[in-house]
Amino acid sequence: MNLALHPRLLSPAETTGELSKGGAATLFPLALDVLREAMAQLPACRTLTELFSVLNACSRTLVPTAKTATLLRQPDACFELVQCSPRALEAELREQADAMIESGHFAQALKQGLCYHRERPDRASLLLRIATPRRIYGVALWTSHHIPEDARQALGALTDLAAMSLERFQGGAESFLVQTHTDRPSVGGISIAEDVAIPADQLTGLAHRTHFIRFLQRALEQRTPSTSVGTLLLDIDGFHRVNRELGCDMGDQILRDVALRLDSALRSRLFFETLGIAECDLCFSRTGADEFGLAIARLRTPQHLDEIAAHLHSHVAEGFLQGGSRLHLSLSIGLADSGQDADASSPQALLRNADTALKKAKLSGRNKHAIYTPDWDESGSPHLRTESLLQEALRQDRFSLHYQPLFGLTDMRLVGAEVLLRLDMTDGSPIPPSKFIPVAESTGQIAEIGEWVTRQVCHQIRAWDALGYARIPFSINVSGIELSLPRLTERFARILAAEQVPHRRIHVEITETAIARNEKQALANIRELREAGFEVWIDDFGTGYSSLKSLKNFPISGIKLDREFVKDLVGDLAAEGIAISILEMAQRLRYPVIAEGIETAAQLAFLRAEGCASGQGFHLGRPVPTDDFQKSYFAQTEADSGQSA
Amino acid sequence: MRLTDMAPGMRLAKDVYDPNGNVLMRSGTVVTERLVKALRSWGIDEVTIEADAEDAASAMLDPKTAAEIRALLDQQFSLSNRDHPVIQALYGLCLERALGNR
Amino acid sequence: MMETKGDLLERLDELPSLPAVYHRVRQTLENPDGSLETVAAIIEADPALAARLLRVANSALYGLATKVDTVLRALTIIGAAETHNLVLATTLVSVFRDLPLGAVSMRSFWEHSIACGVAARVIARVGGRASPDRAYLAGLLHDIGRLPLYILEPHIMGAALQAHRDRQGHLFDLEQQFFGSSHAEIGAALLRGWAIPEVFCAAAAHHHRPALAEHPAPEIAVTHVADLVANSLRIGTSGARWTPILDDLAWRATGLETAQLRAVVETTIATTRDVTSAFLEH
Repeated sequence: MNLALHPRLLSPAETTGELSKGGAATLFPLALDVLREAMAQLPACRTLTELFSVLNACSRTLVPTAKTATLLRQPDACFELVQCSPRALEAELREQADAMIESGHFAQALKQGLCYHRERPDRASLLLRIATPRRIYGVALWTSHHIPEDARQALGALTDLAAMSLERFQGGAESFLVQTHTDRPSVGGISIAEDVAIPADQLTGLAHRTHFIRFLQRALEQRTPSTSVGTLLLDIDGFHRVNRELGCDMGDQILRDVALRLDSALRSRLFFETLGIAECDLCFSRTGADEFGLAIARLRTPQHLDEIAAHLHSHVAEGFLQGGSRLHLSLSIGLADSGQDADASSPQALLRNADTALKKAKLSGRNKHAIYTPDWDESGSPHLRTESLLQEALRQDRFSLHYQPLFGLTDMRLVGAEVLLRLDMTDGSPIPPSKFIPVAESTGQIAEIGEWVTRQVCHQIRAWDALGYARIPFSINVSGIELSLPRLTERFARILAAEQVPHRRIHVEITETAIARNEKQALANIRELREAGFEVWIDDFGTGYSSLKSLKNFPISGIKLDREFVKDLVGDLAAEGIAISILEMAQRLRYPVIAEGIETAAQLAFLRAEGCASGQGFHLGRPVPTDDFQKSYFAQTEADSGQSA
Repeated sequence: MRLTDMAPGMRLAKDVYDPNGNVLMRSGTVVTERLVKALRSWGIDEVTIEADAEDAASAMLDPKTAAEIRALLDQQFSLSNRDHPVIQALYGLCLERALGNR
Repeated sequence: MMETKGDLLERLDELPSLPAVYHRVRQTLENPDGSLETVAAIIEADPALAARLLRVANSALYGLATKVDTVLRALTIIGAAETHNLVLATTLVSVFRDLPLGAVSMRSFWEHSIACGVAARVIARVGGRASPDRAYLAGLLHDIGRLPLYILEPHIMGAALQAHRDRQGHLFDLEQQFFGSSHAEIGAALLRGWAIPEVFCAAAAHHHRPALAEHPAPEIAVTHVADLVANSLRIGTSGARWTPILDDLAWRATGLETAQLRAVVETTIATTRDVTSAFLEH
């Protein structure tokens, strides 16, 4: 920071020698401390909000009773109030600033640097110009019953420091574009400072997401019957790999190159003329780690959105030079058009649509773009709909667990329960797992959902244990995706340790299909799980294509006989034959068997007679919500044990 | 013309400068209430108004948009020699195209 | 810093060189016994080049009355002198078209170069001081020295661009600071290495500071003004974001009147898009 530029900071009062002599005209020690603090903190500020919070803190120390406001210059040479304290007095301070513009005191501050003015016996105002020797940025206002001379000096120096920070933010432009008073939808309740951010991302120099959203907001408000607002979200395909393989420094460098290159491509006149827009109708911003957003205001020709995507793709196609070789990066682009009026009328809705389109583009492969169409919501992409639903469900805790009891077939004792995941739409209608599990698997959300389930079950185990119910094990289904990822056991163990639940209380159920996905990893996972004390059961046994192999090769705890072999039992000779063979084979290999899908008393009797150890099914007990399970099965066993005692 | 006599729809005939000599408003800018307030903020009491401004096309343009376009062009030409008539002509042509695109 | 410059000049041979077909065409054209038929045959031996050359010949650049569909016919119409320029431009763009750059895409680079070439051609024609054909090629080649900067020193160039973006100065001056040299000097060296006629090397060397040219030539002045027009209009970019400073003497040397700028601007915008697509589209 070059202090030499700043006359107010160079006043002789600032030297320590002068200070020690004391006197009313010198900066008092407190002020010096405040300025030191400001000089230390201001260079680190990256947004107007941060800047104002430092200034406010400093100003409060100097003149604790003062109300303050800051007005910054706009591109049209007007001044807008961008910050005030206390916030509640916004209207009053705005009015006061307007009065000072009318009275000429404001202009006096702009011309002379400061204006101290006693409006009423009980109220004085200090106006200071926020400016560097080259540029004028705005005016700061303090108002209180009295502002001492030395505090005024200190505030002057503080204002100079602020001006230097503003200069750094702006890189030379004089005006700070903020929403003007009249732009705002309503007067009350809007906190301004929170909303104002410096329109530049440090790494790429592009606008920030907040600025982007504000731009969209304004663009949407300015729609006419013939124009709409276009939004593009651009995501670098597989950028995490760049960071992982080349390191974050290199990743940053590439991100900067991508940003600059796209920015240059968007500045081209040919581009503007194709779209019939001017430069001020565009806002290109970094909206996420490796995601960019482009907003186009006053778009007359939404049919050109395709061309924009193609234009951007063509500038990235050649790749990037990295360490002497070519690095190919591709972009996925999601586009959405606001329509002329109704449709998407908030920045959030527009961004959501663009994001939906981006996801669709991603699903169709790399380097693709997709334009959002409203009918996706209805029928076009159930997959996407489910995916965002899952995301919301996770966030809003909309999943729930049901429990289905497992009984020993000889004594009909409760020996365990299978945990089943349920998801309801917002209207309460259920979505079958067969529909959302495949989606969750394809998007990778399954891992997050799996952890949620485990944690939830552990909570429940502890709750039921605390009530003194039977300490039965609970079976959790693990998907093929999870089974083919390393460190499955570790993830279980971590959650169970945190919840203080012993490993034997959790049984893991896997299908043969899940094993087949990545046999080697699955085997490793099963071994680790067993070594850690978890039981691992083969679910739906007999329907996978490697049944016998799984029995032979995998260190499993037992098998669950698929309902397919149970449903036709009693009467159908083939069904009976297969069931008997499987049970015999399991006995010989010393694997316990749980029969699934027992729906009749006859099936139960048959399986019991053939030596099947346990079973589940509608005949024995349907899957029910937590409370019902507790009422129906635990209260009962408790009562049973009470009777027998 | 004095500020008090100005009416919306008139146009500035000459550029208006801030105390540092930087351009505040370009000639041709349409007078609005907001512009009058801006002039008052800066303590400018008097400006030259175009005798007759009948440029319907740009009169229709939102003055704020025009100001934004100008601000961006100012930035683009900020490192050039703005006092040279050729640069001024180029600036004018760029401005015209940008406004014309709208 | 000066090490960077010397180093860069030595490393210019790391860049792709002009293809043999260009040298063969040039030899034929310089040979008193050479004919356009021979030149056409050489070009047609490379079907991709022949196709591209026909697209460029049929673009708005030459404004031919009817579409030509054979190389020979194209060459006959545009003439022997312009044939050299056309072949050089086409082979050069083809060689560099698909290389990766950094913060600026190769596409933006050529868009800017082509816009500058087109503007130079118009300025030469309207001002009447320079040969439109030579002015066009000089404009097309003026920033060629940026390519070695991007390709050989991507990080330094990235830093210079960042500073330029922050309006710390013209990119040309920042290059001097960061490399101890500039794209103008490097470009001239590159062109000389390729044995390109001197007038084009001089235009590349002095297009930012025409006053410093030892032998002022109208092509230098025209390139200087054309670059300024292309940068003001912002058609593509070779990295520069802000309009450079106009050299008054160079402006006068073009023979252009201020009032004629409108025509230059309009023709440049109208023509560049078509010519760019002829050069760059697959």
